[in-house]
Amino acid sequence: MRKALLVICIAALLSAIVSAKTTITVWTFFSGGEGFIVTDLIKKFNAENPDIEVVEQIVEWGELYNKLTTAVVAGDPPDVSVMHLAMIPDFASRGALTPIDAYASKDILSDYVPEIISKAHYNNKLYAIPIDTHPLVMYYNKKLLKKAGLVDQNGEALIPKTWDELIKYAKTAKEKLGLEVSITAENGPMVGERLFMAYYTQLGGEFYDAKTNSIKLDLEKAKKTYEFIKGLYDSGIIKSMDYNTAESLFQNDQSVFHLNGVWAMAVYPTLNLEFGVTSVPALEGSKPYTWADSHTWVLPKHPKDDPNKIKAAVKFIEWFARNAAEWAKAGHLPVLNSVLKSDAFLSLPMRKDYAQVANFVVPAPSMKGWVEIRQKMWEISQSVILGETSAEQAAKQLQQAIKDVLAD
Amino acid sequence: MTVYNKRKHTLLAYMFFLPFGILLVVFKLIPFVNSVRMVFYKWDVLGTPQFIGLANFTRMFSDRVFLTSLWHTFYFVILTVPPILILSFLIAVLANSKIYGKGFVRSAFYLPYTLTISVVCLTWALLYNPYFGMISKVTKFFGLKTINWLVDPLWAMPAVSITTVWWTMGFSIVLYIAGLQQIPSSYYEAAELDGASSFKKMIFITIPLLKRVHILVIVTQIIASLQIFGQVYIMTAGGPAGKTRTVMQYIYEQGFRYFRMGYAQSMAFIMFLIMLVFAYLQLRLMISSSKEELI
Repeated sequence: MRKALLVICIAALLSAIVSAKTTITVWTFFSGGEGFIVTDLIKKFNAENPDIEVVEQIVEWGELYNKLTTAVVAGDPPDVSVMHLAMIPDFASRGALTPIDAYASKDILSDYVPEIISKAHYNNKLYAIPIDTHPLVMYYNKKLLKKAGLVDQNGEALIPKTWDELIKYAKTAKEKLGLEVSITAENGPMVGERLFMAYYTQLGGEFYDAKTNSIKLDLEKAKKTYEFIKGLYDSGIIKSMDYNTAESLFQNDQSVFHLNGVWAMAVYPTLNLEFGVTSVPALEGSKPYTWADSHTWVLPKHPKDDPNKIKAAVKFIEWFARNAAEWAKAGHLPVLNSVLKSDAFLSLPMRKDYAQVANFVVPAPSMKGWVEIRQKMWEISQSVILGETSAEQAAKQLQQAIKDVLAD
Repeated sequence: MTVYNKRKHTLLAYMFFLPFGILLVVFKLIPFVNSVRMVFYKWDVLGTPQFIGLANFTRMFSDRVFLTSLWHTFYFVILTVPPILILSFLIAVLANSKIYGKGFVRSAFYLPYTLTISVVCLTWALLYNPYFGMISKVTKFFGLKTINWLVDPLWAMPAVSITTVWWTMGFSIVLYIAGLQQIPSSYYEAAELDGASSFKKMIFITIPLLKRVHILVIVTQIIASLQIFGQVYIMTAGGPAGKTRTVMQYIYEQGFRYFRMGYAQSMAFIMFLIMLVFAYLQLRLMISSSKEELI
């Protein structure tokens, strides 16, 4: 009996050595529709690559970054983790990520939307493989626009191309339809950070200062942006509200326009809603630049690098990026030009209407502490909307916040 | 009893204490000592802690966000503790009286306490919603102005407080009911013979005899309210414009979002000291009130 057991054990051990599977653990925070897509893609990868086994571990959305930090401190992080592009400087600067320049394929790097892959670098080292971008876009309710008489010669709903047009249409629709609001957007991150960055960039504002190789704010343009935001609220076409209220009003035909990320595309087409999606309006003479973040895959730092594991992990994350047309079903835009132009992606519903937005994305500046600055941005703009801070003071406060974070 | 036996007893007592003692030392005492040590350091969790003396404290007292958060926290205490004290006392009196349906009163007011924080906060956020919420429907019916509760700088904190009172009152009600049942009915009977009205019985018998419960409710509520975090985090995210940010939330942001563990630890230490004062106060008041009872 004992001998038999021994033989079985040895046989099992031998077969394990022969198959020599490299196991890659992956942390994700995706749930719902996004979660199913990721799990399916991982299954597909495992089937195509018998030498690698990717094991997914789902971590709660709000907890992932805390847990990742503690896992790195404990010396036992996952081999791969999801990470927002905007978080990379915070983690890379603290040595929590493994640089992957030596492992990434050359052809994939040149295929990327330049603005996105440049932000996957920190101090000239590559730390992430981005899999999507999720920009701020504008949704519009076709039924309400038609009802308000905002149509072209063919009877199609008019789509505002500039901010002035948006304001004009929104005012008309609000009056004619007797709506409480005609534009809805969450008043924290959506307006204070995302709309701010879109408008500020359209004005020609930048966060990166090439002269000093650091982050700065163009005071005059920031002030103009805050004046614009204040003007929107003062005109009554938009009111302060939280995310769920903004979405509910739009979904229930109670608002004509809605500013939100492309992730809403995972849900809106499934509703009984006559809507369209397009890039945010542009200032005259500017391109429709817009805020965007990205989901990326990163390799958290282990106490000791295992080149075999890193190779297998990079193989998986590159494969995922190349198969991002499937992932794009969740609403996100692919960031590889080859995928962006592929039929698999463009044949998804309405994607043609906003695929071009990928060319005008403005990710967070590559700086440590951006997480703190954006929190300040949400609050400063809320204070401007409430009329407690003037546009000029607000711009100065934001400039001071950036200085403080850089100095810390 | 011999000396030997006494020693054996002591040993046995320690043996019984040991399993809990080990857990206490490993999971409470050592982390506590470490966290107090960390107030003198700058630490981003991943790097090595850097000794900076008292810099965390000087920073704290010139940090306007910390000081306003401290005020918001006290404001929340002021908005929640008196209503909880008064309402739970009145409801307990009602639930303890010989009225029809007191069982319903008891469970109706205790039930919210059994709900989880996210259920409570999301439900109330929906009630407060100016477009779809029930409260705005009621105010509209009476011709009142619709308040945008959670994004109005004036109303956001009161709204969070109302939710908290509704949610946590059940616990104090139970304490009061227990207290009320300990008052001998002979006191009331004697008062009735002397012709005391219900109001006088309440003022001269019920309220003074519940002194210990009052102290318990006030102090535990103050300490609980000082730790307010979840409600504001879910309902307002500290907004609008940081007007409902509390110290616990700021500690979380500094420690886990901006990775300033030492700074977060120092703020937590200050909160610990504040709560220690209240806990000490409770102990002293309880001791003195039990002495009174002996007299």
